[in-house]
Amino acid sequence: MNVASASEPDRPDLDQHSAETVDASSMARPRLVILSGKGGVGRSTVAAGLAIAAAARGERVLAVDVTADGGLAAAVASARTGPVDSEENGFGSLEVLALSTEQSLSQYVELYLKLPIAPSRIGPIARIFDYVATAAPGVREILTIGKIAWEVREGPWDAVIVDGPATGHIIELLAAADNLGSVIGRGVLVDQTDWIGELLADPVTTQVVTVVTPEELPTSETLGLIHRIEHETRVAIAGIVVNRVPPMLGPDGDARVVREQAEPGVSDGLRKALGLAMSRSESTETQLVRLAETGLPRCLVGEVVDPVAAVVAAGVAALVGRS
Amino acid sequence: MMAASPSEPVDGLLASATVLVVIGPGGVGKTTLAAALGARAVVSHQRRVLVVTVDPARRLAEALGIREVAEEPILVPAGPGAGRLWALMVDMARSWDRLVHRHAPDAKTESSLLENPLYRTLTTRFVQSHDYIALDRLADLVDDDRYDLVIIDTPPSTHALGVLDAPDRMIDFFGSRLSTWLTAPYRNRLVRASASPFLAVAERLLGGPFLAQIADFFWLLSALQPDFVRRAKQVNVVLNAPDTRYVMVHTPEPLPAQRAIELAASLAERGFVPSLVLVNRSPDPILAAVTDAEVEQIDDERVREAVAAVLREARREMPDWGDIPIQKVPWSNELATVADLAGVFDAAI
Repeated sequence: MNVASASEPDRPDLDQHSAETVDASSMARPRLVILSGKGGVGRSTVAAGLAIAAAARGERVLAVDVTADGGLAAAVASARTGPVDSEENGFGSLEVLALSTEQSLSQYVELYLKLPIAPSRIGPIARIFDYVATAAPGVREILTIGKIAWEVREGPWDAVIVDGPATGHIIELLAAADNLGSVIGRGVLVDQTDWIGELLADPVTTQVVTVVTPEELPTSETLGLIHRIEHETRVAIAGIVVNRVPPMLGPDGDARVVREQAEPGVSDGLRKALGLAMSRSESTETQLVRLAETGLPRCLVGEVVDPVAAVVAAGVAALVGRS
Repeated sequence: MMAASPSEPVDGLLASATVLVVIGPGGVGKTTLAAALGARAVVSHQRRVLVVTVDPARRLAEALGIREVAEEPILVPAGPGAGRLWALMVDMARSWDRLVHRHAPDAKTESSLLENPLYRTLTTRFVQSHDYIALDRLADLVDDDRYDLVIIDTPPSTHALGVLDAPDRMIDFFGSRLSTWLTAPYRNRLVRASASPFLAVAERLLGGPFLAQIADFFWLLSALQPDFVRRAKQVNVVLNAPDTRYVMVHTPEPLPAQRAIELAASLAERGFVPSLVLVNRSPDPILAAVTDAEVEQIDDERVREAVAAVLREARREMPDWGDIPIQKVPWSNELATVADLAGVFDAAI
């Protein structure tokens, strides 16, 4: 694994199997960790890995699935097997919460409004809010982040790990508390935004982890996202998880591939595969260099059969002060 | 221009369909393949084709080698022959303006709606408004004599097949209690009373002025209802027509393949079956012939591991699509011309 130092935009350590370790105690240990990344890069997997790593340290963990598509719960379930997870072994607790707008709303109404509304009436009202919240900028986001922030402030959790929305929507989520007032004027929602905004802006409490695969499009999108988080929100970034890093050829890789291709008896198919391995290694390296230029800590996770276990093994949790 | 070599089952479909709906999970190259299907229908079948996209990334424009895709269809230079290729990128904002213009019962309703402070946000973010707009344009375009094949690249939707549900949802919305409640301030006392629990919560949450703007917007919109509903029904007729065919696109990666299977299942619930599955960015079949023994003979450990990873991907299992024809499409990053696009299906794998 490899967590590069934040100071120098160095060439990445191409050998992700080296046993270099990061001192987790030197990193902030935020209670709220929000993951973001383009769809398909394995965001839920990384969230599950982080949640399990924190629970394995004995923490009480709430894992929140903002998209409510079941991906996080599935990833957690797939990884939680065997006696390791029992409390006798020092395993804390791990709950998964899937947040749809309807749930956030009914909980929000309970938490903040103290309106005498029968649960049966929440349903139709929440459906209406689904429409209104889709239409009005920031309403859906404030319901979601409001619920999350409440769990962080009032809940029994040592860690709240949020499998966030895809890249395009994370800014709206992070900035909702700061921006909502200008859009809709006064109301209970807006009155809540001050403390939510402060909770998100406090780097001791809240950090974002971006998840990316070392391919051109996801990398470009992630670089754009990091820029926007830094400029449009007050939320701190813990680092970058580079997921599904393919085996890389290392120094002089090209020359060694060419040598293999020139061996007698090499089939057309193998020659082609060698060429692909070379171009893939090169393009991966290019993307890793681009990510290194952010100066943010990075953690590389290889391509493996059990992705959640790989996240735990790669020490991704060190990015957020948990090793 | 080189004549494309025949490729069943793509060509069978391109020769006969009048509408192709291209569906699939996000990020699989749907837009490019929609353009490629269009290009091939023109080059190999001399059809008069319109490719429609609502994709905001304007990738279709790039794939077709034209700089801008405008609100009106643009004729794409496609070489000699009787075939013609048009491309249309649907502009959400302008399409809504058009829709309002066409459906508004009078000029006053139209201008009030266009000037409502929430109009722009609400119409561009209204539940599945992209889907609805795409289909609304589709209903126009299939009746347009200029084209004998319309290919529609469906928008990346939060609800996988939202595009197919959009007409019904539009109809449902206008007939729903929701619509009534949202516009309650404009309605009689009985309605206002029944909506009061909702309005009480909404007002405390959102504040009165904002709620008033919302009510105003939906009240104005409800004036458009009869026309909206009529159009939505027309669109449903098009979607169910026998010459409207569905093309599923995915890539070999496990997640997009899985999503495609799920999409097909919900498509089947609506009574539609894809006529063709395109597996985009498929590996070169020559890789499948490489044996593990060959890989073992690579001396350099890191090279061996990298090659093994490449081969693992090439050997990934594809979903079982049963009787539905599958066409594997290789990766290509040189799609500079319409001829390149038309040739995408040549290298039948």
